[in-house]
Amino acid sequence: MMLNIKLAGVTATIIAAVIALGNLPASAQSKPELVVYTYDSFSAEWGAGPLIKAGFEAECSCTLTFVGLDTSLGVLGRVRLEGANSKADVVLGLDTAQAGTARATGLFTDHGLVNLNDRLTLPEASGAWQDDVFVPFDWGYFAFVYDKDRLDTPPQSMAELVDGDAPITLAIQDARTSTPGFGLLLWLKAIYGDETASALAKLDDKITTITKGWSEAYGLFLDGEVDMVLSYTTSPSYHRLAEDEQNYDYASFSEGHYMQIEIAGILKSSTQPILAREFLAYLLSPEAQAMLPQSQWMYPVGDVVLPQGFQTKPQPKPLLLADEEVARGQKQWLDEWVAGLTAN
Amino acid sequence: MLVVLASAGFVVLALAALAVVGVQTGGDGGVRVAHITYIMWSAASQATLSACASLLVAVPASIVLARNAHVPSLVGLRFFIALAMVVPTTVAASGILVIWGRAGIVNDAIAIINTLMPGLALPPLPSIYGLEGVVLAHVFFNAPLMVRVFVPQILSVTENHWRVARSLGINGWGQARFIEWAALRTLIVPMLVLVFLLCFSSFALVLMLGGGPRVTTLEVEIYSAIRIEFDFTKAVVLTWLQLLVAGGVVMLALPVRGFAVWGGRHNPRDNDFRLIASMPSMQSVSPHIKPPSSPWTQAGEVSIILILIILVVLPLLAVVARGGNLGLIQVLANPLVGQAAIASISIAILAASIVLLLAIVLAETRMQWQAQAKHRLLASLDASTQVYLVVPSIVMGTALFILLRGIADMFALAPLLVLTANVMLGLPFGYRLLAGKWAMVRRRTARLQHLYAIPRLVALRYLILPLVGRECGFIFGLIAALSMGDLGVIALFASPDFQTLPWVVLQQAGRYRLNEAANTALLLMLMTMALFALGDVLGRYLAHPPTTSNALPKTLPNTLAKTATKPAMTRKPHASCE
Repeated sequence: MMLNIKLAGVTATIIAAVIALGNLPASAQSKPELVVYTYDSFSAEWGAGPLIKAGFEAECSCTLTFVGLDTSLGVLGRVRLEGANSKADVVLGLDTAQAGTARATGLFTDHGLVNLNDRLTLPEASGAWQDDVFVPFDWGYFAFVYDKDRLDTPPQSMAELVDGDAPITLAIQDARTSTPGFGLLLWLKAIYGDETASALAKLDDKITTITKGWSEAYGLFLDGEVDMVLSYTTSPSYHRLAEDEQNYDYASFSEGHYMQIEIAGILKSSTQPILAREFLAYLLSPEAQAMLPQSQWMYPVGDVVLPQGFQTKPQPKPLLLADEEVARGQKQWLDEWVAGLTAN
Repeated sequence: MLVVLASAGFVVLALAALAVVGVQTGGDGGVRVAHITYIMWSAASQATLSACASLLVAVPASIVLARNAHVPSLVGLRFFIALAMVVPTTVAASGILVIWGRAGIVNDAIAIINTLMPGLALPPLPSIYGLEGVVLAHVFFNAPLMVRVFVPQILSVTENHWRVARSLGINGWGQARFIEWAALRTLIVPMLVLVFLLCFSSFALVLMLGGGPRVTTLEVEIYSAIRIEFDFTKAVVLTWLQLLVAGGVVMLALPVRGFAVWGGRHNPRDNDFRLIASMPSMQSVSPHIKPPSSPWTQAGEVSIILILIILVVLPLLAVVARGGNLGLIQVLANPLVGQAAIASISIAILAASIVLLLAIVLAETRMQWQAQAKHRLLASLDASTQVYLVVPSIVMGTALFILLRGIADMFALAPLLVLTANVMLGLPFGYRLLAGKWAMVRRRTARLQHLYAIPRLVALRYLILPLVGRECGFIFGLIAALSMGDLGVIALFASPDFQTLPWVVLQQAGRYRLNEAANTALLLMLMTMALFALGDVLGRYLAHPPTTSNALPKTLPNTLAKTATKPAMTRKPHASCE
């Protein structure tokens, strides 16, 4: 059976190739290695990951390894499953909505950075940073983004969007599967409190569709399928700076915009706690912070000058719920999300 | 046998592992009964509609394509139909929206007509988002799958039938009723069940086109239970629920004749079976297949072909148009993309080879059990191979993770895990597509093999493979293509050193790089097509034993040897819709 022999040969070669592929960069190095779990688009080649890696490695005489994980189980789910056996030293890219849950796992240790607030320039309304465990590294506001050529008069407030008669179509993300989707739920919770479900039921009339992730909804918006998409206030900045397209903007809502603060923390199980702390300090340095606006497309937390054209109008009023409150309420709120959107 | 036990056992083990961790991590598994009832109703009605609509398209389409199987100008259409089965879901969804969306081509055309002829005042298309959109997209994927199974079945009707039909002067409608429908009848319920299961557990597509939680599936809840609530107990409860529904549907369909075997008839005493088994060639097209043409049949054929073009070809062309620009070259030049492409292809080819081998082993096992009348074993084999269709990949992936953590280095294992998952996801298709035909061919050739004491391997190469080679090639191509587009499990195990192409698409789209993502998606689609074509080549190779070999026993009469190898020689290229 020539065929089977050939097939077996081919199969063996491919197995060898696959195994080789899996092991390729496992080169042993004498330098200490710091392993950072993050989400996929942070570590992607056009993300902030490679920039931060180059910058930190230049001064630490260590190897910094970013491991990009997908958002389904998520970074937090991954370290919870790995527990004390985790290979990671640092977890980067949780947000304030997850902070309460993350803290409650007991897997994280104090960041140990002193006088943190001297280095931070978060909006004053969000208060001084008082978290001993997690360090913020960038932040943004959720917002509805629109195309000025297609929509003349965007709503001025969430109330106008929810209650108004204007025939606006929206694409949003599902709170159960996506970070911005969950952000919208918190945004509505911050504005409407116990009336969130009925606000969602009214908003439902304007929602064309609800996608699994950010990119599907944003793609629908760019294709002209909807008038507005749930995204960030910094999305128009991307179009202005990276694509030189001036026609995108976000609708400023008078109630304020919900904040997403992205955070990083050191795992208790880390074998490199000192290096991990140095990494967090580097992350807050002006050098690293200056890399973030045009790779993460979020606002830096440090005192750096924003690129020309990044911010063209005054920043909105920030809204933020306490992370413990989010951790307590999220299960019930998700039920309200579904109830509100299936009410009609 | 071991394989089956292992596969079914693995699901139970996986769910158990997940449940144990669920209890440890304090998930309460609490579900709102009213809400779950609603989801089940929504998913079941959507899946039923999708399956029936796919069938409504697929049956007439298969008849038209079979009758015109010798028409070379339809090669393109056959090609696109084959392609539609394997395009990644969200890529296809964006293609569908280019045609049917609010800013799609149809609405543009309506706007142009309205400007030219203001008196008409055509209304724009109603919104596609909702049940309509989900069903439309499911038809896009599943009608081609059905067509791929139906067309060879029609072409396998014996020459005699077509001759008799022509001499009796039966018209197109009569032929459809008495010959083609009769040939397809046994496949209807099995294909409906398969498509129902696929649609019942559909996820990203349902969210994207469903317009909100009103059109939903259990998968969304399972995803949420793991991702946000970290409640594995709940995920396991919901997965069992999904398995129960799927099992229930399979049970309901069991008494239906023909269900047990997909792609062939299972009762050896059945007259149709004997007719099929005695014919010389399975796929050559009879010159008598074409009924006398009348304006009605012609109009019917043209409109069905038009429907196929609008439904299947246009969305695919839209995908090509979107990604086929200069950016494609930049994407190709990116080493990361190249590396991911190589990883994807390796995994796809390996998974397809393993699935094909397993499918042959399982089909042979099934045939022997059938001969020994082990009906209960048969039923459990059929059921357990289908399990993976309805176990969400996030559940599978998380369970794999839990089972292996602590034992092995997850990142080094990533390629192996992705391969395993793709094999498990592909096996239901491979087994289903092969089992029926395999049993038929084995029965047909058994006497000959026994009579002339032909060694098993020689019989495999010279008697059996010539008759099932094309199916084997198709299975290889299909599984390779499906593995190529799979995103489910890689999502949990991707590491900096191991990424697949769909994963790169997702990453690009995740940070505004939607144009690059479109380029990479096109590259993914082209490579998927190449793998699919590779399956076709493999099929041809398997179906054509080397003629110079003298491996066949000398005692075999010349006529028999010819019969055994004849199908391959008389088969015309492009005889089916591959």
